[in-house]
Amino acid sequence: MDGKIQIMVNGRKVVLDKSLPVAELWNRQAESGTPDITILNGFPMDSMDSAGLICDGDVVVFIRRGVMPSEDEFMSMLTARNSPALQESFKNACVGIAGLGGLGSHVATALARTGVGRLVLVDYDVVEPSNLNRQCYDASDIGRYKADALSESISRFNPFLKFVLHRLELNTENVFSVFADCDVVVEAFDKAEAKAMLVRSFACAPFHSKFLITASGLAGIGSPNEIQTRRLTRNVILCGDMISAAKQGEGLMAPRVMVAAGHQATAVLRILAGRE
Amino acid sequence: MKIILEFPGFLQLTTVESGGTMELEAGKTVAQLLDAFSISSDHQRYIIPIVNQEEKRLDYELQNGDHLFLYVPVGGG
Repeated sequence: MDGKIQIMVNGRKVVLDKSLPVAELWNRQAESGTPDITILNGFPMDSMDSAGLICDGDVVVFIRRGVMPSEDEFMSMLTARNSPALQESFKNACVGIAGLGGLGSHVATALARTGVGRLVLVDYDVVEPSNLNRQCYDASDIGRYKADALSESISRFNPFLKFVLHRLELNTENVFSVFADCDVVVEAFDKAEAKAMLVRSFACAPFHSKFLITASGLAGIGSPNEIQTRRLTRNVILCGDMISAAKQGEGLMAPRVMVAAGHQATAVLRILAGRE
Repeated sequence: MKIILEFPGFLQLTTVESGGTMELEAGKTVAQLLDAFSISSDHQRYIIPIVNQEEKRLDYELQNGDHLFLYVPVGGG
């Protein structure tokens, strides 16, 4: 190519006469100031000066300050945060969330912020005033289906995530079809009977190739260090202290609920990354 | 035969310690073990027996060396 080099800048092909420092490339885009993040070949740069010269075939993404990125730019940003291999596995994944209360709403939020590509959100209930102490909803959501309110809330910070919403009660009849496309399912129910139903269903053939992340024991203000992640069976992972049931005098409070949800979300990501 | 028995504290199986080894007659099922601990059949249906990290039914016949975890989900979410 007569010494010319061809690179990609924010998804567009650019041909340069000669190699340039990244900072000069930014200036050629006629942008003022400095970008929020500069991503070179999937990795974030500490500063534009640290990158040296652009080489043929390089892929550069500038994320502008104060401007909502395009989908390609947004995905590049997540790739830079998570590393290319991890982000690929997160982006291609489908995760089901059974119950969108304290656990489910926080798990879905964490996975959406991390960059999981698809979520199947399931809850038959609407947002009530008593939910606001620990669940990811606003007062303006009261009376709305949790699946609708949560998907809209998530879309405000990750508008490119794809949802399947089910406003129904899960049971032994519908659970296999609702989560048929999911790689991992998060059990985030409130009632012990419903938790047991979902755990038992993961011993059945249709779910043998999938993982379940269940939770048990997260009420009160006991030490958060007692909430742990442990393997229950080959394809079921349990998060919680296994003891602290929600009851009079030991209610569900945001901090421990969020700790348990954090354990569940991390377990999901570890499975998607092939580390479990 | 001997098995390792693990259970959450609220089950209050006072004669054994969770995570410890216990002696058991050969041929006993999980349900018979729970009967011996005076756990009513009404309460037994909430218990999910996990044997060597595999979910089993209450009629599973325990084997020498099994690790039995009596999982009982508690409410809250």
